[in-house]
Amino acid sequence: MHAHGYTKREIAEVAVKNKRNALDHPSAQLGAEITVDDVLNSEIMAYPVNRLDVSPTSDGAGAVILAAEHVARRLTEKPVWIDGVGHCLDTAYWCTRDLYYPDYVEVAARHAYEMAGIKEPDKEIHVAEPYDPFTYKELHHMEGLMLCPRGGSVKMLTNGDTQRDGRLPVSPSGGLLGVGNPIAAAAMMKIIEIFLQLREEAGARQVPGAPRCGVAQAWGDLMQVGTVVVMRR
Amino acid sequence: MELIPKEKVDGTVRGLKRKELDSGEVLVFDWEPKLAYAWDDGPAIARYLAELKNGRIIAKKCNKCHRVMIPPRMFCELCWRPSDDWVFVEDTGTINTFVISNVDWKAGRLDIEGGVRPFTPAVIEIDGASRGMGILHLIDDVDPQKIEIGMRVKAVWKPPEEREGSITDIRYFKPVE
Repeated sequence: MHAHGYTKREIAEVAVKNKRNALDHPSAQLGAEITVDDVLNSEIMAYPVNRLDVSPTSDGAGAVILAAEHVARRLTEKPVWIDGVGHCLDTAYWCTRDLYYPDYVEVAARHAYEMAGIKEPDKEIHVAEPYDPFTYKELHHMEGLMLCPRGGSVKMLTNGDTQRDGRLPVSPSGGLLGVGNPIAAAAMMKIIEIFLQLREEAGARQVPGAPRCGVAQAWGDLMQVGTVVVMRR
Repeated sequence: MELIPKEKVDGTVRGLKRKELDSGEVLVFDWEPKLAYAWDDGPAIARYLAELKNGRIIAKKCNKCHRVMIPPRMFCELCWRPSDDWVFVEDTGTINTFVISNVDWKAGRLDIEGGVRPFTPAVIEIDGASRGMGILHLIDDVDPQKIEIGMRVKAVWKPPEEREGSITDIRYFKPVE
């Protein structure tokens, strides 16, 4: 808000989008049709963060099966490939860092994109599941993943670009805000969503246009760990 | 004391009933954990805390990148080398970021309606340390709604006899003109 003049009203649209998307997720805890005003009028937890800006406490689990290429081809006609992985830890002295821009997510993303041969993430990635434990973190992480320029995430959101039928759907699963935030399983939920989207098996959550490349991202610990996974079909 | 008989749970998943707990059908035991532990501050934080007891804030410098780092650390995590000189910094600074929190440290609700002042923790960039170097502390003696990023603040210390070598030897920071 301070760096780019984003308003609470704009940021609240992340919650509206993700909770609506979650209505189509069979495991969702907090899928709902809400409005920006519902977010702004929800209980203030720690200003500028309201209750509906925050993901819930959740219990959950997720799993994927990894297999060698020749095994995967034998097991399924529609394998999904992990084409790039990046991890980065920034300093644990979090009062010493830039608390807006997640450099460590960018570093992790650059590693993953290089491994996957991605040069223009905003064009080559068709569906994204950035970590969204709070509304504003989805926006931070879109910028860290270089899906938009720094300071460009709110414009993408308010244009409708990140809607399920938008130019670059973001958190079509419903994200942590809508599906839930089972810490340590939450990023797996995002990887599973990309898996289903790439196989066009996401049902009512399916993004149009037969996506071929997706990215999932996790964030955590002392707010300084970024993990990025690029997947293709 | 026995576990629930196997036939009662076989093939189904269900919650336990109060009756089963009370009747001893479920294994229940009381245990008082002894969780004594010691914490080694390490040389950098130990000196930092000792100087707080003296009413001073100490930082450490990296002579390669020339950052003055607070809290002090024995290594520079950017240059990946041992840090160098100890330097005293000011007890004034600038608010980098803050929240007006209606929940306490244990995530319980504060009675804001009943007149309890919200918690207002902030990251405060300390004067004399490098730009962007902050510590987490509380802001007080000001209407929470008046707090702003960029506001100048100064430490309010406990009297010397009450200090114990803790970050709470600074009670809070308050705005300065």
